Amino acid sequence: MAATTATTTSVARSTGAMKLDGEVTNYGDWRDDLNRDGYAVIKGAIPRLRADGYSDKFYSYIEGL
Amino acid sequence: MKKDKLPVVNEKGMILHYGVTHEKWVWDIRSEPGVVEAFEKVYDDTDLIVSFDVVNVGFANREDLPENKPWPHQDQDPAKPGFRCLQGLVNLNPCGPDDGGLNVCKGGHRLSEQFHKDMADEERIPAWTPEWYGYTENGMKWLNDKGLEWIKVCADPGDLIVWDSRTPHYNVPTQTTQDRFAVYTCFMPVKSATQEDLIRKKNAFESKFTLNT
Repeated sequence: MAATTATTTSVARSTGAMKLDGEVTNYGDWRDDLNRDGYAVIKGAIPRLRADGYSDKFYSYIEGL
Repeated sequence: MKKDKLPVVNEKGMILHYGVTHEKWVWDIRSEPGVVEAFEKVYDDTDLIVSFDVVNVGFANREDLPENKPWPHQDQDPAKPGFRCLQGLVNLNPCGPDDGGLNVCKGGHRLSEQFHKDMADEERIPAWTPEWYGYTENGMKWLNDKGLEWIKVCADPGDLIVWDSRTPHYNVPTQTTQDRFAVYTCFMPVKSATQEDLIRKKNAFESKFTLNT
């Protein structure tokens, strides 16, 4: 039984690249949205403080042109 | 906001000039671990190349630009179906329902192959590359008849929005006083590129062109 469980887990976890076929998946994160809807939002991919820093650099760049 | 004090930004908000795509802070954004990891997870591959893509800015109080008409499209050649490329944008300012930004046709990727079979005889909107396909009024009607919805994607600063390049999408200008800042990030597995692609890309990098391939 243990071997069967392990096999099932590895099939679910490492099937190579995502297929984005619209089917329901069970990654437990934004990838389920992406596979089903064709898009997803990854919250806080960049920590907020650094993101605000990049926004400041964007403004400085525009003002400096 | 005075036009003569601003760099060239088209009505879609794209800054295509000035080599902005190679500014250090733009490369820093593309190199953010949370951004790269998202693409690694989708491709199940850590050997990726990144596009030198455009930077998008939408100032709230500009009235001198032509109207930004919705321009629904997909960034994949319909002749090459199946999932090939994940596109992304890093959002840097608050982006609510009326703040402008990306609109996507939810679930459109799932019906992409069927769409292009059914619409094979539809006249094509002229494009500069076969990897761009514009949705006509008939095409939009097809999506609507299938019950697909268009969603304005909302995000906070630091969020990464990703989408299948087959998913129909377009951007809309802000209706509020909030400026929009976004950096496009698109990674592909190195193994999907030919040696010729890689040499072309290396040359583009060295001469600081903007390439979204």
